[in-house]
Amino acid sequence: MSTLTGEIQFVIAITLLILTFTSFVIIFVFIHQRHYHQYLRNIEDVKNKNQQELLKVQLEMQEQTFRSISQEIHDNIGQILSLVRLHISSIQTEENSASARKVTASKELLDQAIQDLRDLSKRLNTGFVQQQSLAESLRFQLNLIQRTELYETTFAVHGDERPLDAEKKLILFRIAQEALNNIIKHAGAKLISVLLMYLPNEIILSIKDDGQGFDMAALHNPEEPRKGIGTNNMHYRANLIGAAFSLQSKPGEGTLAQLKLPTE
Amino acid sequence: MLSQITIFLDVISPWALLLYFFIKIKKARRRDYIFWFILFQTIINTVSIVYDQYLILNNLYLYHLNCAVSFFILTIYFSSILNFQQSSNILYGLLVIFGIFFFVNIIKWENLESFNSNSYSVASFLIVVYSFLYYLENLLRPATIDIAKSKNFWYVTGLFTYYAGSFYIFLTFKKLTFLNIENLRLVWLTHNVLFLILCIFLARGIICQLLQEKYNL
Repeated sequence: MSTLTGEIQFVIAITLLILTFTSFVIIFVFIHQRHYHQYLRNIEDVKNKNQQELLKVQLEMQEQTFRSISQEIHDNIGQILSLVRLHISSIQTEENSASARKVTASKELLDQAIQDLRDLSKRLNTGFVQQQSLAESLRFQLNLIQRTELYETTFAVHGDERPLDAEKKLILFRIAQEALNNIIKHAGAKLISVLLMYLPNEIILSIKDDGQGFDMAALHNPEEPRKGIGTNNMHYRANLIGAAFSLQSKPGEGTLAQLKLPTE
Repeated sequence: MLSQITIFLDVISPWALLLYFFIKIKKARRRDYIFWFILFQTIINTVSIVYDQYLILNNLYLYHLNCAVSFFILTIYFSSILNFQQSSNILYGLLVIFGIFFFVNIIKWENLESFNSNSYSVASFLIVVYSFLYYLENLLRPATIDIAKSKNFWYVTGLFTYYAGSFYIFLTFKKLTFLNIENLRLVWLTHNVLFLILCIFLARGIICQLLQEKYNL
């Protein structure tokens, strides 16, 4: 009897041993998977950090280039044009003669060129942007567009304006500049509206146009990889300062670009 | 009391699981081989317990049927989830070989009036091998979603635990029945507990299926 009971005990013991082994196998597979997913997450983190660093360096180089060009325009080209104007002013002509009219027209064109160069220099000059508030920089940019008389622009600020970190201000301004340049290049719009909202926990910058709009899916078409690079850059720049950039558009219905920056 | 409940565990567990399946999973049941496995287990175990406990008739031929049909359903299930090259052909080949062995076993060694230790242990062994293949595939080519969110992981883990745990029971059960042991029932109760564990894992897999459908994983 005790031998027979021993048989049953043996069967149960073997069963428990096999169950222990199966538990080890299952736990091993589970742990391996967890480690693998952790490894994938780590790779993704490193990749994102590298991309951010690369973008920071690119932006720094870009700003340095802008500063150099701004300096060159101010110091060299602007000076030369001013001298040309001086020389033209010193030309003696008979009143109401054809030459006098040509001299006057040349002086006006030179004034225009000098003013345009000054504006370009200011737009490129990082220091100029950082010295002003974001609203003032945006207003300046929109005034330049308005002066072309090809667009009607509106600009509104809601809420109490508060000072921003210089780097964040510059990046927000550059994203806005890129969005406005895209409108000028592609939208075929007549009206550009910019709204800057200062909310308790965030700043929202909205740029809307009444242009032809576009198909959002075309931005992510793998057969046309160059399309969408500009918007990707805006996303990356926004990510750099912890902001979120979004684009909404439909063919025939214009485009809305929105930037949300959380603030403490 | 506990031993009384344990006797009926292999009926209560699949019934509870089947009801849960009917209530929660509404679409595409025919494509879920585990549903057919649970349904078949529920029917065959219920009929088997009725034969044994109430009609006091020999129910051992039902175990032959259970073994064959379960192995058939699970082979198709594993061939649908394994992605190794030629795995479907190999599994279907093994199914044919098992089928031949099954009938030869009935004719030569274990007729319908005795417990089919041979075919149960061979079927268990093969299902354990299929489970190892599934785990190996996941180790070599890990999925992008967390394995704990995969219904197949829980289904296979349940089947692996049940068939690996029951292998030695199946292998020795016929021999033990011939020895006329007083507390042989304890061995089959152990099997019933393993069957309950299988049903718990399958239920976990059903919950994952619901979450997959909800979140489109």
